[in-house]
Amino acid sequence: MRIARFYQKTLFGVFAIIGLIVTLTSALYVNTVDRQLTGDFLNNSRAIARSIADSNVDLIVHRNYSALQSVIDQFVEISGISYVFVVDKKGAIIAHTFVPGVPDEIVGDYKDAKDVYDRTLTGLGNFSEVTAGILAGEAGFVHVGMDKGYIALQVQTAIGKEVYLLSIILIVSVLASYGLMYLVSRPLDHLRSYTWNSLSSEQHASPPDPSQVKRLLERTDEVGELGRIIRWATGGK
Amino acid sequence: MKIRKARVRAAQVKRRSRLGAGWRFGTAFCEKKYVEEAAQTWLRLRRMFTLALLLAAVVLNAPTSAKDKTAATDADRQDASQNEIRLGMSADFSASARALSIELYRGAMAYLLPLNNAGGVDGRRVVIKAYDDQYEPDLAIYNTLKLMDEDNVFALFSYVGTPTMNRTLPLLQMRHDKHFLLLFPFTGADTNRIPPYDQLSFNLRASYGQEMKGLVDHFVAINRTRIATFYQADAYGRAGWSGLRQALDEHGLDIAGEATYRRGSPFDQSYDRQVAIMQRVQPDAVVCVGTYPACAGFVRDMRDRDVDCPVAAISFVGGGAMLKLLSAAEQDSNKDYTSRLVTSQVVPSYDDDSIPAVREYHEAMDRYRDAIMPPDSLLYPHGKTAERQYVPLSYGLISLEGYLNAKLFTAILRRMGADPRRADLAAAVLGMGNFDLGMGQPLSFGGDTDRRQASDQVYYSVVKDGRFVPFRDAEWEAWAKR
Repeated sequence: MRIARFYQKTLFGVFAIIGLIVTLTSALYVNTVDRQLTGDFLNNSRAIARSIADSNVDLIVHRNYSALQSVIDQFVEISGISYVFVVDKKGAIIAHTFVPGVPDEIVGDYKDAKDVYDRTLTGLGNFSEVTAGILAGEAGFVHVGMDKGYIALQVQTAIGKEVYLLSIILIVSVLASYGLMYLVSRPLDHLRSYTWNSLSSEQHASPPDPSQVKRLLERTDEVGELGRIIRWATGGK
Repeated sequence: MKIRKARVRAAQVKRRSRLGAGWRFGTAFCEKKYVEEAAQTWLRLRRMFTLALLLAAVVLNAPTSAKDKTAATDADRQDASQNEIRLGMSADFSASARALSIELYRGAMAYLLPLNNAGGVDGRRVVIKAYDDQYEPDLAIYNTLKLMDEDNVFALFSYVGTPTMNRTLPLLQMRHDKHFLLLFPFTGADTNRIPPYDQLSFNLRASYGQEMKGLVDHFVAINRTRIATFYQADAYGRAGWSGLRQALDEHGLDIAGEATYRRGSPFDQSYDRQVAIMQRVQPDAVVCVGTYPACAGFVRDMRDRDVDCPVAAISFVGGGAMLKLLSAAEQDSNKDYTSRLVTSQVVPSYDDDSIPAVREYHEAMDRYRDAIMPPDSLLYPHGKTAERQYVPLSYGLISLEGYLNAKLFTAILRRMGADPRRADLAAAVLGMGNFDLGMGQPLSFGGDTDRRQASDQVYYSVVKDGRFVPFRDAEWEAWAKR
């Protein structure tokens, strides 16, 4: 399937524009999804931390740590939430979900009541940890850790799906552009062949089919008009 | 709600299929018209019928409520015409803590079987309706709903485990108007001993806090002050951890180190990571708050890595089942896994024949050994296989506790007279005052402090010649840290 040289540059231009659109859209999407999903996960974790901190004050005040443990165990079942621990007002960890124990990295740094901790736990991975104060921090703090690996996986999955879709759109666009260009350039090719045969005394390798010539000369567009002018110029040959 | 939606959807589909029948089977206009008319008539009739039903419901509202009230009272009483008193039990009969539940059930049945054979209490048999919760809180909730709604049990009885009980108590709170009580759960957690759920339950046994206090007091007395803990990473483990922390705090001490494991961990699993923590901590003693497979595995791996400090296990661990696993491992490896192992218990030694209740228990266990097993459908939900087959213990502390639970319930039931009502159960228990179950120790409910836990006594046992024997106060001195 040959396309007229005349249109080849146009075709490459179209491909380049589509490619650019796809690339820019992907980049924008990656950036947006990354920020939005990461933000969503952080907000969810904050909401969980806040929910534990606000709704279990009685358990903490009454030192019902067993019931408190029941509560935090349920939150760890949520995808992406890797660990939860609760610190009392003296800074002691009074409930947690770690096995086989609280990691050393946490034992060494959890009392500053930062809003977000970025942690790398040996053998476990990277985590974003958000905190919420119990009674504004008077009774302690709830810490909720999210696996950054899980968030990255979710982001990659979302981006992967988008890139997959855009790739399909790119391929379909390229094929469609190519097909359309071919349809547009075919009458021109016939006209070139007709003109060559009409004006040149040399024998062309593939003389135009009479039915093709008939269809060409019957066209109402510029190609048909040009064909008719050539026929008139060559004396109706 | 879902069921209602499904019904509405089904009705819509049915209606559409009726309307669509004309289009499918006939193309003639009159035929379609006839079908549409028929459908319209059907819809009108249906609306009228619904309206009639609604009207009837409004008109009959008052008598219906009265009927409901009567029904509720009957249910509350468990109907005088019924010839049995049903106790509802949700416990792990098929997973990691099954030995505890099976033995507890067997012990209770060892008391109830002869009682029922002799005519029951005031002509009513006392039966246990048991469901398997596999030590999973969600299943325990479903089981409890079934026991309350479908089985209409008189009381919930001998539930096994803290995580399961913790999730069940709010249900009882929600149904407090139905007066359901949880009697004698197999846990020493505080959740049912302190507000807001302390009014929903009665306990025979001492709490984990009391067990921990006893162990800590003994260890500290022999100069073992660096006490670490190995515990299950859930509500039960936290209950034990909390008791240990409080007990140490009374001595101005803190927990020296802690290692956790996941609920349901088997004996065969490696506990090296937990043992590594203990090696780093170098404790004077370790207290285990877990189930028997995990605690036995941990003790095995500790001894394999030459961590030889005394190890204590609280009552829920299930000393008998743990000993069985460790003894088998000893035979395989030719190592000593059972020395310097102490368990705290909330019932007296099953070997102490001087105690009347223990003698009765022995006699019942000997006589009804096979008849008191839970049904196979409960033990083997996925089919009975040789390797899954449970071999019951002849005697054990847990079955003794089950026996005493059943004996205590029967004593309470007798006090309630010929027409026991669920609503009167709490008052009947509180009215027990001081009583004697033949345990060789004073027990009491009610009184000035509204006691809801009958016993405060903690006992200790160590392994000697392959079996647990009482560990007297004076004998602790042999484990003193020099």
